[in-house]
This record gives sequence, structure tokens and C-alpha cells, in this order.
Amino acid sequence: MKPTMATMRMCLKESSYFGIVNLARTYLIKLFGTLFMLMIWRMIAPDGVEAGGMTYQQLATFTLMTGILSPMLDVRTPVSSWLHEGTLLSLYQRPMGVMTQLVSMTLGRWGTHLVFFSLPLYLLMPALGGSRLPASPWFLPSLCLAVTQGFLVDFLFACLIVRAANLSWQIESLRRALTGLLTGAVIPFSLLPWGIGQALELSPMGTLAGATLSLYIGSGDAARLLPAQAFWTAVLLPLSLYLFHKSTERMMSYGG
Amino acid sequence: MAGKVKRLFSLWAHYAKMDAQWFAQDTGMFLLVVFSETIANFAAVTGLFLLAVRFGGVGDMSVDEMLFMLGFYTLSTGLVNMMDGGNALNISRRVGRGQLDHCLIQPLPLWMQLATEGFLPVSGSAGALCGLGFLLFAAARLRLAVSPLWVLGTVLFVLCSFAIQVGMRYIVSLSAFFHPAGSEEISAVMGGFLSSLGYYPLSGLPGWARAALNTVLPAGCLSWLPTLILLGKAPSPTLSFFYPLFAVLIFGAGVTTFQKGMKLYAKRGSSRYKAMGHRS
Repeated sequence: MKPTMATMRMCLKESSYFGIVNLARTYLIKLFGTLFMLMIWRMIAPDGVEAGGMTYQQLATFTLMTGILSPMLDVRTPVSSWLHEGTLLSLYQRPMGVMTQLVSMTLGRWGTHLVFFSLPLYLLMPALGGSRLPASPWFLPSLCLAVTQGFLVDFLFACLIVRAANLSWQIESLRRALTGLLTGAVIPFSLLPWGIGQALELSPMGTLAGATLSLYIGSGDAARLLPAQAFWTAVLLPLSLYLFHKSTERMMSYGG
Repeated sequence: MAGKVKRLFSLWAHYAKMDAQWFAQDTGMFLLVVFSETIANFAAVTGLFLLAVRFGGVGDMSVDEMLFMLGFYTLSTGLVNMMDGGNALNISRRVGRGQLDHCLIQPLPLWMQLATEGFLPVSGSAGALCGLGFLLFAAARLRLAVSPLWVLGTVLFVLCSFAIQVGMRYIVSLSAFFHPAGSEEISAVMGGFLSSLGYYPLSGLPGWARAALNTVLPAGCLSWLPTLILLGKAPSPTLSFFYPLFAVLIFGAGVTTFQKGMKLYAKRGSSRYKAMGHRS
């Protein structure tokens, strides 16, 4: 436990190396993005008007919780960039399991987000039209499953990056673009046209963020979403561990 | 002057040729890059478009008007990506990493190097082509009265949007001359700020916020304002004159700021190669 905590502390400190101004501008951009989305909801669902069966309060809560929980709903371990940043070499030289290191490093990096962005935004929620309390008690189990599933999906992307060698940046940009839409983190699935939402809702990507958020705002059905999350976690766990293990022989660091 | 222009075009041709040669050397990887860029460009604006479809528009913009705006945005940001192959637009990285030294020893003016070296017209064209496709499709659906003047205006406004994005990245890069380590990413942060907010319709915002986002932090100038002008929905016809003027001012401010930074660089140099330099 001691090495894990030490790794977490190290990564927490590391994320503030570039200074408070650098952190502030990163979170300012996130805040602007969140406020812009609230503005869109206000245009679509003005006071007293429901949009697709959802009130402004539900939509605002959805967007604010997306911002608050963003590192947990789209888990990014250092594995996504370890080939071109050279992190890979250091991790294999330490007397600690690589996966344990990746998990503790990620948890450590969440610290700055939670303190500088999540907490202030959570406190501001009522003023911005959101609700601080989840509509369903199943939100917490769903969040735990989403985080676990997020780690597994990230490891699978790492295997893809290992396979694609120099294309890590392309895979990252593709992932970033698709994540918002396919995981249901930006727009609730129930608001998507042409049945796209129903198709994505129970998919391995859709259960990453969409399930947890829809349970928080009370638009999701726990009896359908939680089993789907558990199912995908059970499927992805052996798959990602097997593929990750298989990829180790192909790993090469080309940066530093 | 004619010689410089000739050299500029010759360098663009060289970079275009090198980019095209990549296709011949590694077709699989090239196609994968183009495919992933195309999907990424589609996905980036799809969320807002799907919302517009679901609710018959957003704010005072119809679905087709939204598509036009998203096309304009994708085209202008695609042009930026097409010119940014070598961090020429994320210029604070070059400053912070001490990589300007590499440019200054070349027998070519710095501005010409920066204007040409990131040019990727083949592998980096996915965004611009997607944007152009959206724009033309939306224009056809809107049944716009397309005249040569309107086409010229659209081209001019796309270039203005491009100039604003480039100018803003260069304006903030001044900070990297003073704080190379802390501000290494500031141009990319500014680019990210503008592009992540540049495709929202701003009509729902209060007046002061709209004013700020069309002047100090001009995210609205990337696509929302020029779209309103091109669709004839701008609050004042004089905006079609002031928008290009504003783009020239921002671009000019970027050039001037960077020149001031270079004067400082000439005195201080880069900390990169010092014993305690942050990248030594």
C-alpha cells in the first residue's frame, strides 16, 4: 500500500509542475465548455419546457456532472502516451507491478482535477441550475463499474497503440473525438435522433459514461444499465489483461 | 518581393511533394491517418448537429444553418491543421523548447520557414475537405443565392477565421519568451480554447459575453459571426466590413507580439542547452 500511495502522491505533485497558471487555464477552458453546454440546454429547454422528456435541471445536472466526473468517466492512464513520452521504460524498471503503477498514477492525477475543478463546480451546482443529489441510489455502484470498465478500455486502446506503433497520435485524436459522442458524456442518449441513443445505450462505450450520468439525473433504468455494465466489465477484464500481456513483447519506447 | 513570393510557392510545392511521397512510401499508414482524421472531424461536430436535428435547430438557427456553421468551422480549423505539421502554429512549443535556434541557423527568413514547413496538403486535408463538403451541402439545402461575390466573401471569411486562430496563437506565445517551461503549451491551449468553443451558436448568451467572445477571446469569430454575416442574419451590415478588419488586426498583433518576443530571445537566448535548462 505504501508504494501505491507514494506513486499517487508523486503524480499529484507532477500534475502541478507547470504551475498554478497552467492549471488554471486548463480548468478555465473546461469551465467555459461546461457553461457553453448549459447555454445550449437553456436554448433548447427554457424554464418550464421539457426537451425530449427532460427538464433544464436534469440537462444542467447531466452537463455539470460530466465535468465533475470527467476523469472517471473517460479514464486515461499514462499508458495512452507512454510510448512516445518514454514513461514505459521507467515503469518497467521499478519494483512494482506495471498495472498497479498505472492505476495509482491515474488516481494521483485525478487529485488536481477533483480539488481545482470538481469541488468548486459541485458547490456551484445549485446556482447553475443543477442538483447536488443523485436521483438514484444506484449511481454509486454504477460509477464504480464505469471506472473499472474505463481502465479496461484504456488498456485495450494501449494495445491498439502498441500495434499501430507511430500512429499513437492519430489513435488518440480519433478516441478523443469519438469518446464524447459514443460514451454519452456530452449529450444524453435519450436526446439523440434516429434511435442512435437506444443503439448506443447498452454498448461497451455507451455504458462508460452514459449509464452513470443517466442514473444520476434519473432518466436511466438501473435494472437494464447495471447488468449491462457488469456484463461488459466481466467480458473486458480477461480480454484486456490477455491482450495487454500479449502486447508487452511488441512495446517499444520512441520518445523521452 | 517577387523572388520571395516565388520562393514561398516553391517551398509549399516541396512540402506538398514530400507529403504526397508519404502516400507512395507507406500507403497503409497514410490511409489510416486520413481515415482517422476524417472520422475525428465528423465526430467533433456531430453531437451539436444531432441535437439540432432532434429539436429542429438550436436557438435562432435552423438545422441547415447549423450545418452551414459547423461546415464553416470544420473548414477553417481544417486549414489550421493543414498548416500545423511542424508546430509552426503551436509556436510557443518551439520557443519553450529552444527550437527557434534550429530555424535561425537556416539560410531562410524565419517567417518563410514558419509559413511553409508545416504544410500538409495531402495527409492533413481531411478536415478542410470535410468542412467544404458540409458547407456546400448546407448551402444547397438552404438554397442560398450564390453569386461570385458571395463565394469571394465566403473564401475571405474562411481566411479571416484562419488568420484569427493563427494570430491568437502567436499573441499568447509572447509568454513563452518569458516563461519557456511554464508557457511551452500556451499556443496549443489557446488553439484548443478557440476550437473547443468555436462551433457553438452564441445567440443565447448575454450581450457582454457575446461581446467578449467576439473580441478579447474571439471564439465566436471562428464560425458563428461569419456564418451570421454570410446568411444575412447579422445584427448590422457593417459587420461584413469590421470582421475582416478585426482579423487583420489580430493577425497583425500576432506578428508584432512575436517580433517583440524575438527581440527578447536575441538577448536571452534559450535555456534549453544550459546545464540547468529544463530540457537539458
